[in-house]
Amino acid sequence: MTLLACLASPAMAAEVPAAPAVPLSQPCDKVPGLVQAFAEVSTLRAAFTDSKDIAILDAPLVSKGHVYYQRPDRLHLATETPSRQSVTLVGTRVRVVQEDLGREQAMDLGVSDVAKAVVANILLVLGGRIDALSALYRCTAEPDRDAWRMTLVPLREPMTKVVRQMQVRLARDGTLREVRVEELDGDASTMSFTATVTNRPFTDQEVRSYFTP
Amino acid sequence: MRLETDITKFLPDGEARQRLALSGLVKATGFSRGLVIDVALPDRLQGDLGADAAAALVDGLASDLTASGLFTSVRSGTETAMTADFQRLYFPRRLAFLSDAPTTQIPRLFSPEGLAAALGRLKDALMLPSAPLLKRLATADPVLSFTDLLQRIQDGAAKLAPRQHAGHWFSADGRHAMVLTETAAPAFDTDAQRAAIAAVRERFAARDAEAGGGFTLAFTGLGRFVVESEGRAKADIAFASTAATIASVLLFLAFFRRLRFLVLAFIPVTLGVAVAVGVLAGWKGSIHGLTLGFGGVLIGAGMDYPIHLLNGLRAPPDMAPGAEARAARAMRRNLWAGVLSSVAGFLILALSDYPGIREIAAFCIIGMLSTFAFTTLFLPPLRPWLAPRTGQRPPPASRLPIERALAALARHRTALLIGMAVLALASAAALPSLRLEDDARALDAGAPATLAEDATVRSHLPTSAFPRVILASGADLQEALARNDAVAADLAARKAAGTGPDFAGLHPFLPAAALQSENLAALAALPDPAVAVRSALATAGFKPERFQPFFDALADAREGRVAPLVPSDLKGTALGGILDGFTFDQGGRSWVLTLAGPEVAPGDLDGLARDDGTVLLLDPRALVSSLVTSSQRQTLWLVVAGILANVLLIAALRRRPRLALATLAPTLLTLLIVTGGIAALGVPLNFLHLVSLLLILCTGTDLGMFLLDEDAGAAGGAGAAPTVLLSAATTAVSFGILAFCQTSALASVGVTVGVGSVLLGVLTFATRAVAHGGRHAGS
Repeated sequence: MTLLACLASPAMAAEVPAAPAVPLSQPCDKVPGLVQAFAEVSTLRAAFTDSKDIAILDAPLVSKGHVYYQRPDRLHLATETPSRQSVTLVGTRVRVVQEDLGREQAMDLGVSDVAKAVVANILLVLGGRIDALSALYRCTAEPDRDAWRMTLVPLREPMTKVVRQMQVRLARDGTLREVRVEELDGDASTMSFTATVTNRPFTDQEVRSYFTP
Repeated sequence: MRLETDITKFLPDGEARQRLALSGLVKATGFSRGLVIDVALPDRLQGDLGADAAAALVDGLASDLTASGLFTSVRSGTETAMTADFQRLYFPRRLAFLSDAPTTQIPRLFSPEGLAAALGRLKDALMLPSAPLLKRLATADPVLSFTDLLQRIQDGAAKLAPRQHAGHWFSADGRHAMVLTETAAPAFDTDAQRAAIAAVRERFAARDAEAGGGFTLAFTGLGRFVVESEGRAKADIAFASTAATIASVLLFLAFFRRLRFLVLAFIPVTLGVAVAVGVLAGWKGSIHGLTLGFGGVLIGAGMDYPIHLLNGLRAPPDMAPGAEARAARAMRRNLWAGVLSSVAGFLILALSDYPGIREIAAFCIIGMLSTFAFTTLFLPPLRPWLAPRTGQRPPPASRLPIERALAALARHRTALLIGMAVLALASAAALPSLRLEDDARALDAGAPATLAEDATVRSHLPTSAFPRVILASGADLQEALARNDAVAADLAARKAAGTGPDFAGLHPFLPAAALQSENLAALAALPDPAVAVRSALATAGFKPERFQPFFDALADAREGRVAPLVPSDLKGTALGGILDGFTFDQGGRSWVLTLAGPEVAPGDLDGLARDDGTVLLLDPRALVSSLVTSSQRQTLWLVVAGILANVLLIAALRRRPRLALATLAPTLLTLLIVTGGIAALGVPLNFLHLVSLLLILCTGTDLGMFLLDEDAGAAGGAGAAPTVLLSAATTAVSFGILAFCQTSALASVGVTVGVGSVLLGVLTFATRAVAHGGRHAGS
């Protein structure tokens, strides 16, 4: 039993409304050029700004930092403001370091289907795995300003119990711009990416630095 | 009669042995109460697909094993009900688990600064990807008490849980599915353990075939070692006793070629061994495999009495006046000297702290006395029947050119003396490098394949990182839990200071009810904490009105509506197994255990154990080794005492110092050479080597008494040479056979006594040549 298993327990789940209707748009695989643009990503480096709109807070919780991804299952999310903390994921092993609080914890996602699904979806989005996403979500896309906006509505548990929909905004060259996650209880988080660099291999030192769980 | 194979039964009695018994009750590691099964995935199955296939296989296997009725528990992962049970039992009590030092920490937590820090943590946590999961709890637990409790448990007992995939346990690399079983029968019920092992192998084979093949089974557990150890012991006993008997028969026939003598020589020995087995079985109800293996070949040594007596009874009477009576007296004296020296040696050895050594000593004393009694009671009346018949060809032994060989040796008396002196000096020079065995596994090492499998399976479980055990006890479980709380606090302080090891235990999962009550009392003593919490929430940017569930929980805790969690709450739930794994009752007391990692520095846990025995520190592997060595020095001194007793006995019987010296010299020299040889070869001396030395002493005394006795007529002195040769040969071959046993301890006895007996024979004849030349008493 681990922290995530208990946090993700159905007993803790809030009462939630049914999934909403999805706006009409084209299926992702029917949008010309989308699949090619949102091609598979082997590595990704980017700066991020995350804004969480949570009902228990007076104002959105905004944090900034950098994200590092290596296909298929390595992720390092380093928050730099307002506090320094990082999440490192390798496979199903997760390490959370809260530097300002001097706390560190390790866990295994294997114990929680919900946590595992949440993380798997993040990895699929960062990796541009539209094929895999299409199997888990109803994926539709529509033109949006200079590129596309993909809307992903979960089809299967456990994500249907947590997420209403995800919206992924892409630049015309397929670069990830923004991921917005709307939860069933009305809370939402928006993560915007800048200075994105894809498919540049990590050095051994970077691998050790970012991806040691 | 039950055959024992547990090598720890050989270890000394006393407090340390009781500790070992306690460590055997430690269930948390899973190895002492059943079998740990490891199913390796084939290379063709990778990732989640492979893990899913392995999970399906172990589910089927677990179902089969449960249905077999041979297992009381078969667990392949965390029970699905565990999370729900945990929420149900712990979430309402989360405020009773706030702190290990509630009187100081709870007022600090609910101070404006404390609340600001706690809510800052909550905000930080809400920035993590796990926020969607965490915020479900936030309104009922903004100070993150439940999250902290979960974290403490994860840092504690949960560290012992293997990695999980879809509710199934796996090794850290995800390539091995793990199943923990508890057998219905105790580990030392070999029949039941054998059946359980067979069921595991058979059902795995079927499930593997169903899954397309390629999975690999490995398993370990005390039961497997016991079954294999018994198998080895039985095979060794059967092999050693059969081979020793056949070898003794062949040697006897080669020397005397008289079948009736063979029967007469074997009857006393067989009866002697039977009496020893019967007495021990009736007295204890069981005999250790090592005793039987050792005793089974005693037949070779025990044959000395009937061989010498038969030789004497068949010897042609000396016509000189009084010679016959003198020879009869000498025969009795030599036989009595033989049995008395053996009994004296083993009686002293019976003072050993090792129960196993005492058992061997008792077996040898009873066996030798019985053989002696049967020999001296039944053989003399048969003398008329034993006399050589007219025209009968003399036995081959009488044609051995012993006198010529002795005469040839006597011509090189000086060279012999120099050779013996050099051997003695060289052996004495090697003695300082002698070292005592400190590893119990050297006495009965398992099969290499089994040991390798055991190491592999252990390495796949997190418990392998926690080799040490700390046991806290109390008159009842609550008292033991309270002591365990103190142990956990001590260990946490050492770990935080970097001077103590990592540890995992029951404390975060189940502190004593008294500590939980202290938490609730400390909350009740706060002056209306809800006001402070509301203010802090507003200051930190939260909406206080959303946090009503927390204010309700706070009121419940303060107003006595929260009861501490007690062990009975866990019974019958999915969490009961954790309690069961970390607690047990023994000796009218309750015990709670904590597992600790390897030493971070020598003495890193010094001062943790209490002199009154209420807190014990165990390192089971080191404990066994310390038990093995603890009394070896004592056994060494007992053997030295046995040698001295024999020296005094022989001196008293021989009366003439030169004759006593000649009688003892070959034996003492052999003991010195064998011990020096063991030291020179770098072989650690174990307590069974020491027993072997005593056996060489007893055999040597017999040989010396007969071969160097000029008063025993035709059956003494050089006339005893054929029987002395036969005695030495049967002892050497019988015990030498043990060298081929699978049980390490028996093999070491075999080499020692086998080589020792050959040396003994050579040196006894050499001494005879030095002392008397080739002259026969009558010649």
